[in-house]
Formats: sequence, C-alpha cells, structure tokens
Amino acid sequence: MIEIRGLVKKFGSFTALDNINFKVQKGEIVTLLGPNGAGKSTLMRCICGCLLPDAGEILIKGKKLREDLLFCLEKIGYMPENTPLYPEMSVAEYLRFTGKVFQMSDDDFKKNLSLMIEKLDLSSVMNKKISTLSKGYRRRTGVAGAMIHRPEILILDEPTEGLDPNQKQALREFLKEYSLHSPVIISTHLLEEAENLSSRVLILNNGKLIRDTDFKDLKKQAPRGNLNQLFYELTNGGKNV
Amino acid sequence: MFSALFKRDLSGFFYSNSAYFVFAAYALISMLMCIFKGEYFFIGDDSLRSFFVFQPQIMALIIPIITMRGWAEEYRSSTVEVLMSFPVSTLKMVLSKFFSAWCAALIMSLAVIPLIITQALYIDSDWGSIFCSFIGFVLGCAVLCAAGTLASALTAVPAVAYVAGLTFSFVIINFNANAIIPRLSDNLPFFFERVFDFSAWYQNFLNGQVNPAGVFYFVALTALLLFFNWLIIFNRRERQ
Repeated sequence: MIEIRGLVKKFGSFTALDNINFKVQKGEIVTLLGPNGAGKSTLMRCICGCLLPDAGEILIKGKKLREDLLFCLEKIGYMPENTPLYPEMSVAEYLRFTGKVFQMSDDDFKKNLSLMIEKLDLSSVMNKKISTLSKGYRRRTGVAGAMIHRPEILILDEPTEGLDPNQKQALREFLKEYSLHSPVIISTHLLEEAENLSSRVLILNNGKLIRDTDFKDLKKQAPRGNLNQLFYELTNGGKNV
Repeated sequence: MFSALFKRDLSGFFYSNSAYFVFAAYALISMLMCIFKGEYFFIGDDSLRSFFVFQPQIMALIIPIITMRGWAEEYRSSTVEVLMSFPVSTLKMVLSKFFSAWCAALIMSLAVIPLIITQALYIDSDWGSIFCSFIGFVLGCAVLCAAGTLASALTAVPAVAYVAGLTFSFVIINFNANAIIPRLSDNLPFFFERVFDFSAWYQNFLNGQVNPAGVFYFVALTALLLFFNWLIIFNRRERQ
C-alpha cells in the first residue's frame, strides 16, 4: 500500500530524514515513535505530499508520489501536528468543505458524517465555530476532517494529544477498527500510545529509522521489561549526535 | 473542488468585522476623492472620470488589505499543510486565492452604486465611456489582486504581506519605462512603448477606448504575477 525507498530530506545542511525504508500494508496500524526532532512529522509531511524529498521514492498503491501526486493525495487522509483548522468555519462547514475538496457524493458524505459524529462524539459542536472549540474537540474535528472521505491510507500526527483518557480510548478503538481495511500511520513520542495502539513500531532518531519491529518484540528486548529504559538507550537519551 | 476552495477563500474575507470597516473606508475615500479632488459636482462629469481616475491609487492602498491574509494566514496557522495534502493542483490553489480576492474587490466596488444612481438621475451621462472605464477598473483590480496575492505568498506575516503588496502595487501603477529610457522608447512601436506603463493603459480605458492591446496588457501582467505566485507555492513543496 505504502512503500518508502531510500527517503532523504534535507533542510540546508541538516538531514531531517536519512535513507528511510519501509512498507506498510493493509490492515496494519503503525506507530512512528521517536523523541522530539527525530523526523516523525517530516516523514509524515513527505508521505502526504506537503514536502517533496531530496532523494528516494514514496509509492502509494504502486504509484510514485512525485509523478502522480494528485492520484496519491486522493488516497490519503492527513491530520498535521497541532491540528491546523480554519477558525472561521463551523465544524459542519469544515467537514463539508473537506468532503467537497475530495469530491464526495452527497450520500457518501452524509453516511460518513454520521459515522464521524458518532465515533468522535462531535454532535454537540457541529454548529460551533472552530475558533471556540476546546483543544480536545479541535483535535477530534481534525481527525474527522482527515477521515471524512474514508481515505485508503490514514496518517495522523499525534492524534491523541490533548484528549482526556476516555476520549483517547475511544479514538484508539476507532483507529483500530479503521485499520482493518486501511493502513493507519500515527506518530507519537509517548510509549504508552504505541503500546495501546499499534502492532508495529518504527523508531526514528536523528532522522534515521533505528527499529522497525513488532511492539511485543520491542517489549522483549527491554531490560527487565522497562520500555522507557530501552527507548532512552535507543535514542541516546534524546540527544542529537 | 475549485469551487469549494474559492468559497472558503472568499468567505474568509468576510469572517471578521474588519472586512466591513475596510469596505466602508474604501467607499468613503473614493467618494471624498471623487467629490472634492475630482470636483464631481462642479465639472458636470458625464463619464464618472472624477471617480475612476483616482481608483488605481485607492485600490493600491485597499487591495493589499484584502489579499494580505491569503497565503500568509495559511502559513501562519499551518493550514497550508492541510491544503497541500488535498488532491488539488497548485495552480487551482493559486487561482482560488486570486479569484476570491478579485471577487471581494469587485464586491467592494459596489460602493459606486450611489454614484451611478446620482449619475442616472441628475446628469446626462456618457454610459459607453463609463462602461469602458469600468472595464479598465475591473482589469486594473485583477492586476493589483494578483500582485497582492503574490506578496502574501512571500511571507507568513500578514502585516508584512500588506507592506509588500502596497509596494508592488505602487511600483506597478507608477512605473513608466519612458521616464527611465526615453530615447529607447522613442524607437519602439506603440505597444512596447507602453508595455510597462499601467497608467497609460488605464488612461486609454478612461478615454472610452477598449483597446485589445490594453486588455492584453492587463491580462498578461495578471498572468505573469500569478505565474510567480504559482512558482513560490510549487517550490514550497520542494524547499520548505
């Protein structure tokens, strides 16, 4: 479904992503894990076409992103870090706008909208301006915006940040359910998040992919089962080298 | 999908009350300039020249206010990331920003309606000439909207986008190649002599002439500015 081959992204002399390779298949939920500045968001931006890499290829359903950008973007639903949204719109207007941009039919839109409202508990804020929403509702609106067109690939940058424990749990359940028919990639710097959500973990540090493993295997490698200790060791305590 | 982007961009202008303040300011400045500086009531202006003649300067002040938030606000709030992840070509994004700004500027120009009513009721008007001037005004607005949108694409700070848009607009409306290279322009054909002279082309419309070369000048300049805008947004994906 998604294949990343030798991906390199530089900002001037700084290498944000260094020779990243992996594949994600249907039915997988993958967590990008790493300390701040590891390259998680940059990798997501590259996959979503917001940034074009300096080298390497991104293939979405066998097509090269650089060559078939619009085809690839049609397949992706993306929520960036910090959930940027248009504050002047109401939640309903924003979701309608997203649906129109993805050229959804009215029937599909209504069906998916009902699902989003139910799963993300948005019914009470549908007619509220986004500028007036709490952080949790903004985040859920962002997730709904990314999922409204039922993307074949879902990419969410720190989706549970700012949600209360109940909301986190509900969103995790929804994402697990969604991943059964579409791959989901999320990023986080929280081990707890990776543990609760994913079957597979990609650990990034200093722009390099240092582990691509099943979460259970990662846990086995942890000294005395201490994942925090393992994460600290793998990422050099979050220090840049 | 273009219409969805266009509607969003257009409604963005009317989100805050400041948009209505800007529209009111435009109407007031235009009327004051027309009546006092243009001596509308004294000269028995049958072609509304005293209104249209000041419009490039007034629009150069006002249009950058309309356009300054276009790209700058998208960068500042990071919604540009959401926008870039939509299956929409860069060209459509640029055109959406431009057409929405142009449309807002034309909505603002409805402030001319009281003047048109006055004209129809009390003055024996030259409607052909007024129509030509209006065409020139619409095309001039397009150039300034394209310049303002381009300025907005250069920065994430709307205030800086305003200053840049203002600068671009004043350079465009005041630039006159003849003043710099008079000897060279003496030997050039008419079209090339005026190729960078916004005022001369605009004046043509005020004189009641819809010259195809004049239309071409405004359309080509707008297209050139939009091309630069496209280039900036396109390169953002590469260099961000």
